[in-house]
Amino acid sequence: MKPSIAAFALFCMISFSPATAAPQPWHALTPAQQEALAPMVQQWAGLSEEQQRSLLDVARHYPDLSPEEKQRFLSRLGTWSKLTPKQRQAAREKYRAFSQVPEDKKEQVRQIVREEQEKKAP
Amino acid sequence: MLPFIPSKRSIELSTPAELSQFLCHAERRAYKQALFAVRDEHTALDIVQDAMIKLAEKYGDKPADELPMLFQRILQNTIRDYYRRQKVRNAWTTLFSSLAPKNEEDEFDPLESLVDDNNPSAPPLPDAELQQKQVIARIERALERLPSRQREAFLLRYWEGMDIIETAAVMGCSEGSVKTHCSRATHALATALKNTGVELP
Amino acid sequence: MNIEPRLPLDHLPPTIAPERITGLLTLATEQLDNDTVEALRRARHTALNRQVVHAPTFALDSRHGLHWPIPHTPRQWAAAALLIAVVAGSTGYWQHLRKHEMMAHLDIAILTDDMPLEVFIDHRSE
Repeated sequence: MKPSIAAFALFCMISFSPATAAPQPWHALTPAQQEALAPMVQQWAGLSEEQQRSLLDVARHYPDLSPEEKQRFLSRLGTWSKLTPKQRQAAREKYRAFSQVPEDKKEQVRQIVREEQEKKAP
Repeated sequence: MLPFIPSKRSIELSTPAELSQFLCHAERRAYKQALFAVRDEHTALDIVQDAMIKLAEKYGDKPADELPMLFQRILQNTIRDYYRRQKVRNAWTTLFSSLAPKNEEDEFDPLESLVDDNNPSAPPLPDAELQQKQVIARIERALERLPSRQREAFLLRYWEGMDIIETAAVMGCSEGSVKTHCSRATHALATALKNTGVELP
Repeated sequence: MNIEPRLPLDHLPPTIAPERITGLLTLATEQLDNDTVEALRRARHTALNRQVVHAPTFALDSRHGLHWPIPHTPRQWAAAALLIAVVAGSTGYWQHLRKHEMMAHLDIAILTDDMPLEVFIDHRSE
């Protein structure tokens, strides 16, 4: 394997490996991380290392999002972090299964959900 | 609220992270390979995405060490499909544009001006980094000009690091053919670089 | 010692060590522009979302003793039936995740998808 390719692969692997295990105080986060995780500022200190780590993993992708996606992200983050780990896992599985569904079926489900939401909205 | 929960069982299979790692490691070379063949950045990106999706959908659970060869085969086939389609399109374009003025789609390569002594606006001797970029540009253009089988064989053997047997399996040809393609490609590239008068570092 | 006539050097086909060429090609890949790198990253994520892992089709458990929220309206029934049908019909299979990168990737998708979060959340007590 060419040295530079090996180095690149190593870089990829390192950047995807879990971050350091120790829980971090809020002020130790970078500004970018704090922006992404702003809804969690109150609860941050009370979170376990695991949960902090997964939130930081997720925050890493925040800068890549569109403005609309950023808004959705911030508004859902609170609810998401209040779920139990089992509920989060179940949600990931549902999402994964849903994403493998053919596009036309997906669109049908989306349409139904949209209509339900419109009915609920005043 | 939509009520739904699938029952689940955990089975240990090749993980999504392994596929992710592999793709992360392979995507830039795959893009370049496609670019040499079709010479268009958007098409090259489409090809890479297409190939990645095919790999994930058809072989997403294969052991990690099988992924390189599978991906290369898919990639080369995808390149060939697009390339054929593009050739057909280009043939039509050429047919109808033969009366048009000079083809403005020729890529403008600013580095060209650096080697042209007759160009009065050429800057003085390029620095080392620029010279390296120049060399790379030369190599890439020479690769683009290779017959596709020679380019494929050369890149699979020397850039993807496959041996002759693996290369032959991916290309669907004999080992002898692979050797021939590789040596012809090497000679053609050496000639192209020799003529530039640029010394390789 | 045999002195054989030698071919002048420039009659030999020029050759070059392939590694010198591929070394530079690799360098070029490290210098790709940001837009391209970003587009490749998106392509990779699209592909990963569609990764299929083949395993025996799972069946729906009937969960005894737990309260299922029952769909009320015909609309809800239709959506429920549709979801059940497509997921049961798909051969996609979920496996327990140990790698954080994939989880982060999914979490982001769930948190930014245009489907509301509630669709994926199961509020049963278990």
